Amino acid sequence: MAPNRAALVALLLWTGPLVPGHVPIPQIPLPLALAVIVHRSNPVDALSFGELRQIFMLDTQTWPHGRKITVVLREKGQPERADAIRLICGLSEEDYEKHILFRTFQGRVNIGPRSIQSASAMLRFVYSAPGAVGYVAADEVDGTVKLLRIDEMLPDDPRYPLRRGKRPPPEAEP
Amino acid sequence: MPVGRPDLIAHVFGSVDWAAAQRSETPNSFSLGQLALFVTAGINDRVSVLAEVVIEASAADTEVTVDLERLQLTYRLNDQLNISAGRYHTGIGFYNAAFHHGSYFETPVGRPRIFRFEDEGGVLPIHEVGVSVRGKIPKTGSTLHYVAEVGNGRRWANLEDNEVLDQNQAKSTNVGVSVRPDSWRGVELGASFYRDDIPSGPETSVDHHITALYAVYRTPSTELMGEWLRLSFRPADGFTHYDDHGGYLQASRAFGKIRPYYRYDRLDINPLTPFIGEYGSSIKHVGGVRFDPAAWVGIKSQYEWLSENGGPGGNGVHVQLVFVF
Repeated sequence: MAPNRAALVALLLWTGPLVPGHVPIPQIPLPLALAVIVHRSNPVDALSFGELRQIFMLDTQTWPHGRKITVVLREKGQPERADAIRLICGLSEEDYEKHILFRTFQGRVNIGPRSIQSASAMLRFVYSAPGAVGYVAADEVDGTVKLLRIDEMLPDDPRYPLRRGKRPPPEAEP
Repeated sequence: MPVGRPDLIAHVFGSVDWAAAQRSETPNSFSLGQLALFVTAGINDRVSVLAEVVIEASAADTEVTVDLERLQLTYRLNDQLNISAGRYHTGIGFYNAAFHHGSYFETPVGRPRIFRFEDEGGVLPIHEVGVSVRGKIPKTGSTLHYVAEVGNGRRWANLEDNEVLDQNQAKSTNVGVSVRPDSWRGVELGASFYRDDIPSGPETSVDHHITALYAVYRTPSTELMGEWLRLSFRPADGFTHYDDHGGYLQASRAFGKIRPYYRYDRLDINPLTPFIGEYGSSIKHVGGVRFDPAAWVGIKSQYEWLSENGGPGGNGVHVQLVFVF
């Protein structure tokens, strides 16, 4: 950052908003956001939050172009798994496991979510599976996968819905 | 699928019961519930198979009976078209397609009277052998769902529920539709209509219709369920017809690992109704508490008040330990 721009930013922070009625939106560090990723060949570029929740709840199991969806989560016990389930599905990890088994027992699901040990393994799996949908911390996304917009927002948008520390949505159906 | 291995999931659902009733002829007893062996496997991305085998054992000895309760081969073209062939639970109302033989997922002990299994005095075709198609209705934003089924129908002449062969050329049909608004998560409203032609003699038959309506709100913490069914039997003489009714209301709310619940359970059967008249009517109130001390283990304790065929009500207690592994 050039010295004159840095000085201007410092002045703005010290004086507060110069435009009446305009309040700067605080930037949240990127690692707090979960980035939803799919295979690069997937024609889907964006999902609504409701569509994303239906996919992770296995209520939606095929992409619009017909390919089977493979939901990928981090392994049981990892905080990244519980965070994603809470943010996307509004459920505890235990309630989510019950939901998946309930759907499986009903015959509505035959392949449950995959479990992946690390962020790098998640990226490798999504890179190699054309129907996969997974997630990593926003600063871990690389060019091997496609980043999806959620409710038309990317993770650097302050209103992006998938942020750790954000209040979970209401609980979903079992 | 990048990994070239079949996906096989196997679970076992079991229960141990203790029940006591006010009636003097029924001693309080421990018993083993159904042991349901559940297996499902994805043959490939679109085709899967599901099997549920139930083992029932006597409490007195190790004699067991084995029933193949479900066996389905399913082809999933997409979310709008899932085709299953085999033996399945009919999509009549909500409860029958949602809850199967493993009782772990049911909140109270036992199914509602109207959804009791055929070999336990049930009045519905709970199981069918045939083809079932279900999915989301396109252009409804995943809100509307349908089910359509064609099967042999229930084999009424043999209450052992043997559907190896149909008894006539007529096939049973069942169609249903449900609404699951995304903005009201956990809510499901639905209706179904079942029809079959049941042979009652060498040259005669009974036209059988089942209409079901239901409203359900289920989340991990709250459960509100209500269903009403009308069972119509119209013998071919054209002069008589019988309309029987049944249903239930059920509510529960979880407070941590403890979930109090209540169910009102009712079945009104005209004793002259063909095939099911002998089963009689009943009214039952069930109030209890479910406690889940650990993952995949639950203990249900309930008080029951049961009145059959308009008689005086009797009290009962039922405790059930349920588990999955």
